[in-house]
Amino acid sequence: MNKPKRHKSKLIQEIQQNRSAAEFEKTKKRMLLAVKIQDAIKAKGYTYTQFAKMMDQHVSVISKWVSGTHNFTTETLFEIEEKLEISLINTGEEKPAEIINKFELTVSINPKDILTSEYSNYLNPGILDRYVSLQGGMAATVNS
Amino acid sequence: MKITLVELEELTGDRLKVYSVIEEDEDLTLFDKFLDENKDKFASEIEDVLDRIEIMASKTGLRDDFIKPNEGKPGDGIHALYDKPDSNLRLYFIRFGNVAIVLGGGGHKPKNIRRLQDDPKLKDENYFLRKVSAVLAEAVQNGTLLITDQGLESETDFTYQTDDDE
Repeated sequence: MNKPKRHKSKLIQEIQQNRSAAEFEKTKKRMLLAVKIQDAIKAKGYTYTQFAKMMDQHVSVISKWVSGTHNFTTETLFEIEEKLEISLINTGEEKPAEIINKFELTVSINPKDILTSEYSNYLNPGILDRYVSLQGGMAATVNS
Repeated sequence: MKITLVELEELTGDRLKVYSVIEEDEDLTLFDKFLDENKDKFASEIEDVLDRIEIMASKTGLRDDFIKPNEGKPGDGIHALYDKPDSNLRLYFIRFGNVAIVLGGGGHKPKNIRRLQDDPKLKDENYFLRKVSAVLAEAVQNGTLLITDQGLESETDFTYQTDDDE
């Protein structure tokens, strides 16, 4: 199966090279913000007409908001956040998500390999616990 | 008139495949011509149009809210990029689901017109894209053009003959 030939456009390249990187980033953020709002409205099961009524706006205003081209005021964003129960602006107050990494560590020591008292100490459950704890582990059991 | 479908290297992405067409004996695509005609007079708008297409292609995918639907005949898949309230330009394209778009031309959109037929340039661009849409739709129907999650595929060379008498 064939795919269409790829066309390199000098015009597109020229415009992309000379464009404002800051404007590109702003456009990207506006569009990603719009996607977040679109998805939240759908997730809540609202039509745009229903959402417009909730926001006390005309439905054409909602169309602008979700078009990815709108410059929002913080006031409007705060109101959207409240009505849709989503977070659109990160004020740094949100509790960071707690990340718990669980892993199992098995320490196996062959008694024949214990030649010095330094290694034999690890057979002591208290020392083994401390060693595992220092490595980031939470508990250890010793099977003698 | 013979046209060839091409994929636009600088714009196409994982979330949306972006194509345009080249007319016989031409080097520029319909979209290149649109850029060329408007890049000096509406420089910042042209940059914005390119940015939005690139972001759809790479980040957001094609969303209904990012476009102005139904700019052609019913069912021909011709839409336009969403108009900003203060925008001067209109860009037409053919939509293939959320997988692909074929960029056409467009032009300056005077504030005083109600229908695209009221402006000769917009009418020409839109009606030509309708012809392109018709031949591509026929190719999809007869199975010679496939819409897959990888974009548009075919066992042909993606060259089509538009109906010039329409």
